[in-house]
Amino acid sequence: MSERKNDEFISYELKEFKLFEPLFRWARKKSLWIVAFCTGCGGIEMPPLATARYDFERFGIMPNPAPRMGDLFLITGYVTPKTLKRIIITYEMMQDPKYVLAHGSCPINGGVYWDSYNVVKQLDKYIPIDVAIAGCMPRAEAVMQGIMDIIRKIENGEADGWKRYRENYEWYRKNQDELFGEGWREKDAKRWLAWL
Amino acid sequence: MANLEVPKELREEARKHDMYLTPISKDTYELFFGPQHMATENFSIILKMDGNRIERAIVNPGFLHRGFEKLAEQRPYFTNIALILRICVPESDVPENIYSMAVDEIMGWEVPERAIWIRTTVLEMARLSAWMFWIMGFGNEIGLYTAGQWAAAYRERLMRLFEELTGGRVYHIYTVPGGVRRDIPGDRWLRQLRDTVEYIKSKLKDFDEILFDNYIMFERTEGVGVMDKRFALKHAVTGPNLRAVGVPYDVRKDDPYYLYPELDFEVPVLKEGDSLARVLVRRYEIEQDLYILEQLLDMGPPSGPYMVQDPKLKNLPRFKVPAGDAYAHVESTKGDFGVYMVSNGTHKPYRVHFRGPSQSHGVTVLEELLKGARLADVPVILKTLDNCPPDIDR
Amino acid sequence: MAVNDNKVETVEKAEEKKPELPNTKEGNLVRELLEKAPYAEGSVRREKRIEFRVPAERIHEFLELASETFEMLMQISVVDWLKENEFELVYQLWSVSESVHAFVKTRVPRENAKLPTVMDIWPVAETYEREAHEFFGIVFEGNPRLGPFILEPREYEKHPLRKDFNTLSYVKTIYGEDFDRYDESKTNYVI
Repeated sequence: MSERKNDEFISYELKEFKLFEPLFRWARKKSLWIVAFCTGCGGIEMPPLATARYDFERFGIMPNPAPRMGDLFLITGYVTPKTLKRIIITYEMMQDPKYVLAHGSCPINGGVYWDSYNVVKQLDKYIPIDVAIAGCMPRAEAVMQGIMDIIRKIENGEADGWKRYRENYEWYRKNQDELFGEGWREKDAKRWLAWL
Repeated sequence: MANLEVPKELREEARKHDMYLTPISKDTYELFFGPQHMATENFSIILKMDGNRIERAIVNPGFLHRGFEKLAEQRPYFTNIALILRICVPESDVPENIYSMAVDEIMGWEVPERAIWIRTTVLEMARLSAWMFWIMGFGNEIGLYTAGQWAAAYRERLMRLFEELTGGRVYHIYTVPGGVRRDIPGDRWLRQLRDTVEYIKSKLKDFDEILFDNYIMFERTEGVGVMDKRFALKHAVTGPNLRAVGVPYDVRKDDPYYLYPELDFEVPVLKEGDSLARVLVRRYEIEQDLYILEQLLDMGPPSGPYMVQDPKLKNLPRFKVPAGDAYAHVESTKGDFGVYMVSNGTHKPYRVHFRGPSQSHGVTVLEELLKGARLADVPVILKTLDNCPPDIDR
Repeated sequence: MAVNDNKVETVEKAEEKKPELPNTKEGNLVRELLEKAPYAEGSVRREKRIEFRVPAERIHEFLELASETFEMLMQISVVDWLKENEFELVYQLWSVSESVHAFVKTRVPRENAKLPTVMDIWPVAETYEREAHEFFGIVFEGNPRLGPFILEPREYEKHPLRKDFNTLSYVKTIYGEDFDRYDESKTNYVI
């Protein structure tokens, strides 16, 4: 247990709870709630996943409209700057621990839209990604495999995107400000969510 | 069984006490509906609310804009097929087909009969799978989740057939200028298609019982989002939404393409123009699509090549199209989907401009229909208009 | 030289006028409209496709006449002809009663392109004009909602669908250069 990788990171849980860490991880991997925010064409593979043929509810996965209760954020496809603003705000609204699964080639390097003026090329610069699935469009089986990877990473404690986001917040914030310009949170995001 | 029908007097009485109909005090606020909302599919509406009534709606699209038209100008003709089909995700064959039709027209090609048959069949299959997808979305929006579960499962059968024919589940990249990319796998595939058509046909009455003939559906949709004929024509409403106001306009009948002049089918028309009429028109269209597919299967694929025999196709990256322009459109489940293509004689298109049906349904029409609607009606109006945001953004 | 050019033009014009409109539904439609609007040029392209060319000053007048038979405005397509330094606007009209598609083409200079709005004839034109304004920078006088619609303000200012906007160099300045795609010889882009 002492060889665990995330001992190098600052632990945000109470020290007394360290003993129960395996129990927490087991509970987390068995009840992943998805933030129902399908951000691209990959959203079309979500209904087959959620229904009879692939049925991800057997892994305890459930779509849930409120980001405050979500654990897993699916970036289902390409991300435009306009969507990325909403993604960042939604991601920050989610409670720790939170995991991000990116579908398809587009969040990795732009995919077919590599020379498009309105598609974000490397999503990992703006929010941390835990698992990325290659391909366009990734098949439902590939998405299942990605979810299994997330579950495995939670079990090992490797799914540490939320910790990376906290530790390197300055860096992520700098990249976001470079893309959107300084003060975008005050200018735009305050309109959608008054309490920001 | 208890009678579910609420007596009319009681309903009138309830309506009198409905606080939403007569707000106690003026209470206006701004509500951001979407994009983090399942009904909107990456699309945002800013609602100026008064209590539970919508005073004004402002549509805010653009979350899916990828600049297709700019990118298509920088890629060769055949490469573009892999790009532009991403415009309409639920039925990705429609952009492929209109693009290919426009190139065929500028080239002056006679597409072989076998390719025409395959293209018609693929388009109808795409329509059927898009209907299934629509039933799922609509059922989920009004709270009838069982219909959605069934429809998504039946759609999987079509996805499997598409996969065998084209190699892809969602994006097929199958129809290319001059024909199709590969031949039908064999008679077994045709038998499977016939099985699927018969299977979905036998399941239609289940859908009737649970969704289309359902008391809840009638209550949610009747009299919601009404438009009249004049309004619909001025706002360029097309497809099932136009047929629900009494205009029998169908591209397959009025500007026939492919095999449709030889096929026998009806264009269902209703007069009411409310959400219920739009739902029922779609219900009848599913029946017609199944009928068309049966006829196509009875006809059987004609023998011959599945691609135009042209020496220009030997070197695809340097394939050039003579200068000219063309407009091609087909009937998608959402409406009239068109493309205007301009070529200047090089190996890349000079301008490709798409006309998605949601450009009218999702912006001006939606803004008008939402005026005075209740908040709970927003998903119903969105889904019965069958708004597809990528059409607007592109 | 100039004399020769003029001659060629006159010959071409004479040839254009010579082929008479066919005696079909489409031909009759063009003939009727041209009688009311003699300033326009019309032709039948093929079955169910007709074409008009109208000077930009009288486009609103012409479309108002055309809207009697052509009930629906399907799209306003803009083509940027960089060499001629002109924008070509193609109003795609569809007649439900006659089932005929009409292209109404007009040209405006690229600098300070201005046109009257057709919102009063077809309210749906609002969306199409907003789009054309956003991507090409054409101003439609009378449309109250011109401005950033699909794009963010930064891209909106560039009017990205103009031919002189280079997406690749723009992408490099915004997102960095580490995503370039070359073939094995490192000379050509792979798309």
